[in-house]
Amino acid sequence: MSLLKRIWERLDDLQDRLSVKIGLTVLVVLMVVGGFGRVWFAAEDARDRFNGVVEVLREANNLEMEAVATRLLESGEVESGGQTYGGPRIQASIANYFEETSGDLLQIAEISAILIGETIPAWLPTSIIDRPEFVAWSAGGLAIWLLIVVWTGVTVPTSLALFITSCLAFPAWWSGYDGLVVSIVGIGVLITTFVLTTRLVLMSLGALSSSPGRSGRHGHPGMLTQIAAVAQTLIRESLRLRITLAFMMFMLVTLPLIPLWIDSEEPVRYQIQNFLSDSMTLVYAIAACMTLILACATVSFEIRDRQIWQLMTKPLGRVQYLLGKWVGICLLNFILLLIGGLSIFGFTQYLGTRADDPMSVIEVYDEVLTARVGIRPNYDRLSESAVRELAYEEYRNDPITMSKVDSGESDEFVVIRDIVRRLRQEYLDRQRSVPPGGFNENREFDARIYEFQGLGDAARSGQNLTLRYQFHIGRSETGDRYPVVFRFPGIPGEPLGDEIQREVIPEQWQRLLLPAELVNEDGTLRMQVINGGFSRTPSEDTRRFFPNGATLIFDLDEFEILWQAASFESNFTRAMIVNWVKLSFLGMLGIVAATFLSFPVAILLAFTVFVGGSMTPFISTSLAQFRPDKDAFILIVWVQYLISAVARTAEWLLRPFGEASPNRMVVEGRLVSISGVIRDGFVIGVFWCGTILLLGWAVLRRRELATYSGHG
Amino acid sequence: MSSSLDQTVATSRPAFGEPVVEAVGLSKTFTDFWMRAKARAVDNIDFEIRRHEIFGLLGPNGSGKSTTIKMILGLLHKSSGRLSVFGRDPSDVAIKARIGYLPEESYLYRYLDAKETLDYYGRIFGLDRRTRMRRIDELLEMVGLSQVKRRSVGEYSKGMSRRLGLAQALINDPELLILDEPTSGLDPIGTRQVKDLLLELGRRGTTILLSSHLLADVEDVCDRMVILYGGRIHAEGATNELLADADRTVISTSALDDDTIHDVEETLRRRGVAIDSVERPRQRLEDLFMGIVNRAQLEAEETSGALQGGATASFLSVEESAGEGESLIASLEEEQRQPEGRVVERGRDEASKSSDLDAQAGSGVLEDLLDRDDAESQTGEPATELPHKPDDHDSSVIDNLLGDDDGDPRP
Repeated sequence: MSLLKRIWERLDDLQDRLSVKIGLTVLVVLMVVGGFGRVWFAAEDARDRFNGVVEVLREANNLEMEAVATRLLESGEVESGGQTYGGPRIQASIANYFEETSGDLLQIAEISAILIGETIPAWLPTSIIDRPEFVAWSAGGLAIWLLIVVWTGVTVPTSLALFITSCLAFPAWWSGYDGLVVSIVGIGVLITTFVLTTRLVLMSLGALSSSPGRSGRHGHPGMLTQIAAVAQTLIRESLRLRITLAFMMFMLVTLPLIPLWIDSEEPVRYQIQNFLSDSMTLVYAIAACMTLILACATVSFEIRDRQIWQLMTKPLGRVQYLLGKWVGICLLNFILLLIGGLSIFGFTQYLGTRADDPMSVIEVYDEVLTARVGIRPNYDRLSESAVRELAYEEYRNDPITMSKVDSGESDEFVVIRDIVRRLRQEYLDRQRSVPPGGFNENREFDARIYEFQGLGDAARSGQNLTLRYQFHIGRSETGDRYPVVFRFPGIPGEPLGDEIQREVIPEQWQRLLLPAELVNEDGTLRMQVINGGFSRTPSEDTRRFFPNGATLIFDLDEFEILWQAASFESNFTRAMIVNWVKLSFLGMLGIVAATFLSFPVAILLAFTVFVGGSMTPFISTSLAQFRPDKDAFILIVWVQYLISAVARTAEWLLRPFGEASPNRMVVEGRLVSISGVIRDGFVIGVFWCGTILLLGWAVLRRRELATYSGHG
Repeated sequence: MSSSLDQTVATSRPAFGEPVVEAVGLSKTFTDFWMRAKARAVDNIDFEIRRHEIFGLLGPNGSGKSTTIKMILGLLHKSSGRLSVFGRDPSDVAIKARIGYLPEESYLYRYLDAKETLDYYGRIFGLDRRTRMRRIDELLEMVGLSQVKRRSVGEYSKGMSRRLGLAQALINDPELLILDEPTSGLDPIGTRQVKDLLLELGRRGTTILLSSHLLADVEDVCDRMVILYGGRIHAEGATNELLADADRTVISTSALDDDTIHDVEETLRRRGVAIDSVERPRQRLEDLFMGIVNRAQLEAEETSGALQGGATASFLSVEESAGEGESLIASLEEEQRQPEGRVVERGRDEASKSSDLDAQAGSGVLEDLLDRDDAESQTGEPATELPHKPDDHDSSVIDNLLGDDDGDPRP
């Protein structure tokens, strides 16, 4: 034991020597450059070859009997840069990819990816070929991580932790459980990174909370130094209180285990979506619970146990005290979200490597690992005067309702209001329903037309648009299939033609890729949906239209056009920032609640606000459906109105918190916009936190921290 | 605060200056939720504490001592009257840089260790790193916790917590030191050490407000005092004046035989004075105890040959009364100085008060502490009661890995 101790002490001394640190730095740089350089060059090579094949395939045209097309059709091969790709496997199916009317080759990118796929080294993940910047980011991240280890003097414990992790992972690797290996290594790396990041934060706070220069006899307290000092102590507290440490450890251990319970038989995009949903929810929920408990505990226990007596009798202002606690919690959440975010991002990339065929890769990066903007069609709304006129007309034609009003049983205002609501809803519903038909034998289309506006940016970017829809037709049984025609009036002669027919499966999400050229110059796209389909009869060789037997309907969010507005990485980062802002609010809420409430009451209040805030979308829907029980006793009705008023006020106050749900956006591959982040940051992070801070300051300033003990 | 043997009386106490704390008609009434008066803890009291004075607040439990102190510190709001500290309202944050406070119990963070605790408070005061580190080391040495400075405060005994509480009250080298029952929970050695420290600080010019119901504590160190009962002042004045008995005279000599006593009695009778009693004086139990302990430790000193540290923190000693940190040169020189080599001068006033202390050979409390530290280092346990592991926090592996973090990765 003493020998081990001596070795440890010797290594501990060594790791702090400047020469050793410089040597290790050189080693780190060489390792990173050497390791990732090889990946980088292999990816660049594959990318060059991919581009070369794409260029060659662009020339292919089977109607003109062009040489490339001919060779593809005959042998399934294509030559680029002196290298031949493809073979019989390609030849077997390539004919289906030539467009009938123009003879051009369709889906060139996918075919190119398949062609070069066989020449890519097995160790090179297909998914990073298209993203060389990912290699650079990974190399940079690893290098920074290692350099922090070296220069903060924790090379030995970190190496030991990684060695132990490797030992634990070895049996799993030996037995062929690759997923388990990844999870075990992930746990080790996460805990090590957590320790490292926390150490860095504590060191930074230590430097910030130390007055520069000579401080004189009594010291020279500054606001920033005091806030940093309180924050530093709070982080120490969080690491030494079992309950908060347990939360953090639970997150660090559970996160890498999530991939283990994801069904690997599912399509990769669903695996990734499930992982994103589970892991982001887990990280946020754990951080929120820890934040609320820590925030309430740190202040209420200091007041209860009277440590605050000794703090407040020092030159520490109430604002500095509250801000210090808040900054500590924010930094702790920053660490958790940073570690959690990096872990989620890393595992997402790892899961992405499971997409081994080009179509899966495209699906993953078009549907999940992206940041799309969704545009819904414009729907007409009844004007106030028109809807009121209709409502009064209906009312006047309904003698039963009128008699109830006359007898005082019903209130005319309420009756008219209910009719107006119903008429508005019905008017909207009618626009989201398409009756069977829409085409007559005179080749006229009179089906419903939807107009999407604000697609100018999408059109300028030249990317494909995705129509995402879910229809309900007939009994909407999932085994049914219904033909539906999407037609784009005014854009004849486009590659897709002026209409696209699809088999719709009721109750299932489907998507349709649309070229950006369909968007008009003013950024609008008009689309006709025809409830039925054309069928070509072999005997007559003519096209006949057959309407479906039932009306097609969809909900507000079941029909929209999506386009990629940003990368997944930036979107994910923005989502984490919004989560951080929300957690910061929870931290301030808990801290301020504890300034005037005991721990149990403060935590109850804080959790109520948290849950209520998170449920505001649900509460909004419930309130919209709320109707008082007219038959009840008047007092009960008043109570119902009172509850409704309280709920409406709470819903109004907490709406921004509930509406800021970036995790769902990331899982669905939707854009978390910069403007949204700024808005949430200002409303939740600045305005709300500032208001609550003022409240806490006022309470703490007014409050007598010492209480009557009865002992004078 | 060095060994009583080493002490030399050379410096007199600074003259009392302007009032540091002024209370006029000060009252405090506690109310219930409905704002109905529940208790009138302090009732219309007037007093002032002058600069450089050691002021005693004396009274039984419930007499209003702690309430008065908490009003001075801004922890309670006065109900009526006027109260100023350094000429300002007690709620003024700026004045607190000049105040040190030891509550009646040490309310410390159980999850921090002694060094981290002092470091935290040092940062709150805005002390620079160099000053902070120096003071922390000296204070921990002074209160005898340097051996256990990396142990969580939650594991400390009550006495150890009190010592740390005292250290935190001194980290800013306060001008006004407020001590609420400072010797509560301390063993006789610690009690003596606190008294010595107060006298030392008094010589240095620190204004001290001492609240206690242990009469001997107040009598030994205070210049002036008020005696509270039921929230009101019942007596006020200088200690010597309050305790003087003008109707009696005590003559102290070496032991006399019966004949001599008879002669004295005769002489006095002729002058019309009768002797009430003649008895052999007893020494105080505290003095006896300290004498025994010190002799035992002196013997241990000869065998161990190690006596380091334990002196009054140099920044609190008379030599640095001009203000530590005001001169870079002084600071640099200080670093070259050995703490145990310091000589602390004692004032004549104090010398008269503590003549009985000096009479005890080897009664220096710090040597006692040092010996205790040595003993602790040999046995691996502190001399005080066995510490217990707290149940609400955990020094985890992560915590150990995090180590020191003051911009310096080295622990």
